[in-house]
Amino acid sequence: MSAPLLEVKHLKKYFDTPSGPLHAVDDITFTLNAGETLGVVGESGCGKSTLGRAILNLHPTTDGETWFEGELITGCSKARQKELRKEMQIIFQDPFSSLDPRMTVSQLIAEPLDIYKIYSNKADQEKKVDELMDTVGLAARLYNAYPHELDGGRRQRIGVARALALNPKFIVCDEPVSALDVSIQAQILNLMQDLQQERGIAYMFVTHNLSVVKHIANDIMVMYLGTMMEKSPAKELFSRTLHPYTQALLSAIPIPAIGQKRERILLKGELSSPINPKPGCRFAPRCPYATEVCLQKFPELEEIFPNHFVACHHVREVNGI
Amino acid sequence: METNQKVKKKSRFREVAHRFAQRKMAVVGLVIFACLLLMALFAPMIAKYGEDEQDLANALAPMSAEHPFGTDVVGRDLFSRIVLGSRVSLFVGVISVSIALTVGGTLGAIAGFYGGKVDNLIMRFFDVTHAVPTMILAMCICAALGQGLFNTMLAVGIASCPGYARMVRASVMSAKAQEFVEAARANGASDGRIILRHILPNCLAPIIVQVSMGVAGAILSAASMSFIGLGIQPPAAEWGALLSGSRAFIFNRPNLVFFPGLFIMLTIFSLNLIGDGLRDALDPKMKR
Amino acid sequence: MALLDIKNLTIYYETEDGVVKAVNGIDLQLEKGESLGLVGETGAGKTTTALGILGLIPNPPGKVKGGEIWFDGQDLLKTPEKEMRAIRGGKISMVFQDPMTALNPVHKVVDQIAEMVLLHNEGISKADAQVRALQMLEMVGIPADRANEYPHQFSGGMKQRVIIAIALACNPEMIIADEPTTALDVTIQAQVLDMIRGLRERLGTSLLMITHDLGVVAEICDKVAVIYGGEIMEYGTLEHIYNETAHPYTKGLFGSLPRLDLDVDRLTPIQGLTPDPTNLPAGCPFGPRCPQHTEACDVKPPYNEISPGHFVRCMLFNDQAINTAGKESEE
Repeated sequence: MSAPLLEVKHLKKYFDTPSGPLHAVDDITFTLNAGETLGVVGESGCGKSTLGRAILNLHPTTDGETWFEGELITGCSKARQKELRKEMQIIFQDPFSSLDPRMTVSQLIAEPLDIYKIYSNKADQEKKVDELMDTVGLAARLYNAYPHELDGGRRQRIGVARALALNPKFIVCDEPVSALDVSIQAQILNLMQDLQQERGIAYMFVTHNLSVVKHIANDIMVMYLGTMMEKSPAKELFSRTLHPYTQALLSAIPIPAIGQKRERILLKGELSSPINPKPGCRFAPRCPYATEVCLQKFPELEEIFPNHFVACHHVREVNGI
Repeated sequence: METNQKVKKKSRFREVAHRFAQRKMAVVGLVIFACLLLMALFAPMIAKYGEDEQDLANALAPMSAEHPFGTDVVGRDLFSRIVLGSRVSLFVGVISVSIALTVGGTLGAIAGFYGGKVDNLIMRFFDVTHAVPTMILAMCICAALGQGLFNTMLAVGIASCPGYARMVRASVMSAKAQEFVEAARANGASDGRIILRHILPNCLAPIIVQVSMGVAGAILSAASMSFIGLGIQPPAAEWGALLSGSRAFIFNRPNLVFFPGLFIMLTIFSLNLIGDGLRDALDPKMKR
Repeated sequence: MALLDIKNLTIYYETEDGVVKAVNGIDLQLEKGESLGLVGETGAGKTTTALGILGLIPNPPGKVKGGEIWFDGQDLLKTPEKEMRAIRGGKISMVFQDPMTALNPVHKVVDQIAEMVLLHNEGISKADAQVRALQMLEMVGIPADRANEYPHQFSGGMKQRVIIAIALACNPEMIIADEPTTALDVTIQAQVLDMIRGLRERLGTSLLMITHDLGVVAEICDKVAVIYGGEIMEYGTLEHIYNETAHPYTKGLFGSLPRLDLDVDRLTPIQGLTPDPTNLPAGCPFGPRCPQHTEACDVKPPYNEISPGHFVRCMLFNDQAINTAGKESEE
């Protein structure tokens, strides 16, 4: 097997807050192959967005390494960083605030081309912008429109076109469809799948919506307060859910169908924030199976089934393995 | 109606000009300000009398065909003095604000963009200067540099820097927090490009309003300086000086106070209208 | 008679850019003790309908153009403002989407509930109102020792509980909930939905639930109304909407949803974009996006009852109407 496109090893990102260090991302390790999609799921404050930004080096990391195409990119030079941005792109959640309101659609899409001075003459660049607009399904008449004149779905298409402009190999998608209506969300998801098939782009798809990642991802990673709880191939995660948190999360999602009686696991308590976390499992205070050891010792990630990793002291008892 | 043709692109300038032209009040402001500028430009041709041409026999004459705005205590024609003074006043107003905006605005933008220690250093310095009232600060600078037109402008400009710095810093900070700035960074944009292309255009609105008010303030500050003998020296005509010099006659010859005041007001008024119009015209969301 | 009976309600916003036809002649019924889900996408007219019921349409630019809103035997559109104030928060209360901004940050949560009680119960003493507020907090699962805290000390889910406590404080007959769990995390949403369900069983309050989430509706509602372009496209019981889906738009919504319970390789989205409410298509508002669009759709389709209690506004079902009398659409 060839080397993976992206390798993240023990990545940590802490923020300083007045009440102590906030462990936004704590010791995350994973690999991602070219042309595949890793879904990163979790509730607010689990560090999923920070993880995406840390990999792209939009936030400097606290510790750990990121390897891209066999090259260590953590702490690389500014010039190399700029080169790497061509290969690694991001699509933002909010298509309203991530586009500069004073630029037209074509200026927005052309911006990455401008920055890297890809084209020496205007006509070629214009042709590329036309082509990108066509790829993402934006009508040519919108060339000089401003983002505020468009609806959320079209704005998100601009975001996709910007990310595609430099032909990246890897795109971090930070909740790209969460702000959209369902009918538009499906259009964007299909577009992203098509682009992946045509161009072999790898996605890291960050979302709180398990149904969406189930649909689009090859592998899924579940995070809770900065740490990885479970990681497995997508199909397996749903057919053989091992971690108590994942089980609760899955059971909490309302399903748009009737007559399916499901066992609902109601978690007690609320999400806290990982400021000065205690040494044990982050999920322990809310976990129905938690014991003394869970509060004392951080659970190591363990490969329970092939490619199916779980960080839980009691995974075997809970699932009767 | 829904065609798939590319809409012909208007240049950015024409687009803004088009939106500006749709705002009637802004156009009125522009016309008034243009008249004032023309008056300053052709002042020697418009003014019938010289700046310091006295006619003691005709002192404090009322308004007449010969002296449309009347004459002052030593018989100088007020109309001519206002026309000639416009050169000084408009110049002082515009240049002082330019100095304040360049120095204060740049430092404020740097403080807002980089934050941290740089921000602390710059802003604490401005806090100290802010603690001294603007007028007193300007007086100190002027006293140190000496009298004269240029020094007055410099003094007024520097003294009003902290206000501009504070305002630009605040708007830069709010623009910087927007996600599109992070998006530009993810695309590899340099700091300079981010400031010039993304942040500044998005904080123009408060700057434009402050500038249009600032010009008026600067004219009045310069006037106060001349009044206490530190600014432009009499007999040079200057609106602020005309206004304050005629205070004693406010009851028996109100025209001496009214007309200089009127011109100062016209300047402020027209600049504010232009400022408002420009702010709206530069914002693509206001397109109608 | 239904507790809430909306007949042919039409609400426009008259703006400088044209007339926004937000709600175009909707009919809705909500029985006592029932819960109805009003499902639709952004701009479909969900929130306008809710504000219309409460008489809170901002005027200008909003204007109720016609229709009747019968609540408990009284037409709310003809009720004077003074009486409406008593109804709002008294007989009908509203829960808003964003728990972060709906509470006043400078008052203790218990006082905010007590204020509501004082406002709607003349002659009640302050002490009694406090007692009532504490009871309400306990009912929504907030321990009494947190009653004297301020909203910023509460998490999103807790704040939404407080808001629900305020809504329930005066024993309303009906609650209108506008996307009450959209801003919450899934595990917290599950807790809040569970609580709402339990409270409804205990108190028998009617619920009008506005949402875009067909999953939430399936959990908590008895009936569903699907709204699009300011018109009710389909109305019926959960069974009707989920298992006997009739309207192409409702089918489109289901096809667009990525599902946890089904495996689909590719979603089937609805083509095109939601219509511009200043420029709605003549005839069926869904016409231009509908895969089964025919020329017949250029006329406004009637609102037909295709099986008892299952109404559809679509030309495809014109022949299947079982009872057209009195249900003809306004022409």
